[in-house]
Amino acid sequence: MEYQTKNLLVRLSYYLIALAVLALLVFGIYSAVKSSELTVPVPLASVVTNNDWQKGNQEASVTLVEYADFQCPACGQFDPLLAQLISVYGDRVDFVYRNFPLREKHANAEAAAEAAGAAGLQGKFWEMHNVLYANQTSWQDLADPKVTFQGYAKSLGLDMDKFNADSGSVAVRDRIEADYRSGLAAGIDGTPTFFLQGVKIANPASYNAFAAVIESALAKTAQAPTTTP
Amino acid sequence: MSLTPTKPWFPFVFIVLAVLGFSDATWLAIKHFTQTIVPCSLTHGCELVTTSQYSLILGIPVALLGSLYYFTLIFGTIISLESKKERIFRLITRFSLAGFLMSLWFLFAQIFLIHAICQWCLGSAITSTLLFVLSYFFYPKAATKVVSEPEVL
Repeated sequence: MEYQTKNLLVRLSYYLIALAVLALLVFGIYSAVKSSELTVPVPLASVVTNNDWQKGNQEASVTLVEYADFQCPACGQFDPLLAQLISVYGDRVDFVYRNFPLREKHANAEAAAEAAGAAGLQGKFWEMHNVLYANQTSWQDLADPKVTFQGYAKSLGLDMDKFNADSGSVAVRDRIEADYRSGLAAGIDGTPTFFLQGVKIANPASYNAFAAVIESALAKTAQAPTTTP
Repeated sequence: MSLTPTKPWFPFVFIVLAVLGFSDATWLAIKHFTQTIVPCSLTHGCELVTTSQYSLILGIPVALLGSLYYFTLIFGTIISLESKKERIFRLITRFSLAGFLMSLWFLFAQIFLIHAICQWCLGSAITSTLLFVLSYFFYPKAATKVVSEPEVL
C-alpha cells in the first residue's frame, strides 16, 4: 500500500514537472511577445516642423507623432481613440500626423493622402482626415476614388478648382514622400506607428492605455520647470 | 501485453517536434489575444493571415487549436513513456494525420484565398508535416490487432 502511494506520487510528479515545463515555456513566449513590442528605443528620424500637419497645442512640451496610412484598417480603428485624446489633451499635447502610405498593399492610400494634403492647403487637412477615416470602407476598394474624394472636398466647402489642381500636384506629393521617407529612416515597417517625445512607443491596446502613456510623458515634463500649469 | 520493439529515440524526436510546434502555435495565439488592433505591416503578411476569416473556426482562433493539438501530442507521448504503454503512443502518432490535413488546408487558404503567407503559420505547417511523415512512414504499423485506429476527421 505504502509502496503504491509512493509510486503514484512519483508518477504524478512526472506529469507535474512536464506541465510546469510547458507552463514555463508559455510564460517565456508571453514575455517574448510583450518585450518584442518594446525593443531598443527607436528615435524619430526628422524633427517636427511647421511643415507637419499638427493639431492641439503646437507650443506643448509633449509631442505625439503618428505615422499612418488612410487606407490601413488599424489606423482607422485608432482614429476615434486619437480624436478622443486630442479632445482631452489638445491643450497640453502637440499631435502630428505623417503619411506612411503602404502603396503596394493599399491601392488608394496615396490618393487619399493627396486629397488630405490638398485640403490642407486650404486649411482643412484635419477635416478631410476625419472624413477619410470615417468613410474608409466606402472608398478603400474603389478602382478610382478621385470622384468620391472630390465629393468629400465639396462637402467641406473647398474651392474645387484649387483642390483638383493641388491633389495631384508635385508639391503635395513631395510632402507625402518626405513623410514616407522620414518614416523609413526611422525604421518603421507598418502603420500606425507612434513616436512620443521623439521615441517610438508600442501601440497601446486601448484608449486608457494610450492616455496613461501620455499622462506619464506629461508628468515627466512637469517635473522640469515649464509654463504649463 | 507485448510491445513492438521500436527505435527508442523515436518518441523523443516526436516530442521535440511537438514542442517546437507548440511554441510556434502558442506564440501566434498569444499574439492574437494581446493585440487588439493589429497594425498594417509593410513587410509581413502575418497580420493579413491571422486576422482573416480563416483564422477562426467556430469563433475559436486557429492558433489556439494548434496549441492544444500539439499539447495533446506532447502529453500523450509523455503518458505513453511514463506508463510504458506503447499503444497510447501509437494512437498519438495516428492522430498526427489531423494536424497534417489541417496544415494542408491552411496552406491552401494562405496561397489561394488570402494571397499572403505568414511565416509563423508556415512553421507550424512544417512541424505538423514532419510529425505526420515520421508517424506514418518511419513508425511501424500496429503490431497487434488490439490497436484501434482513432477516428480522424
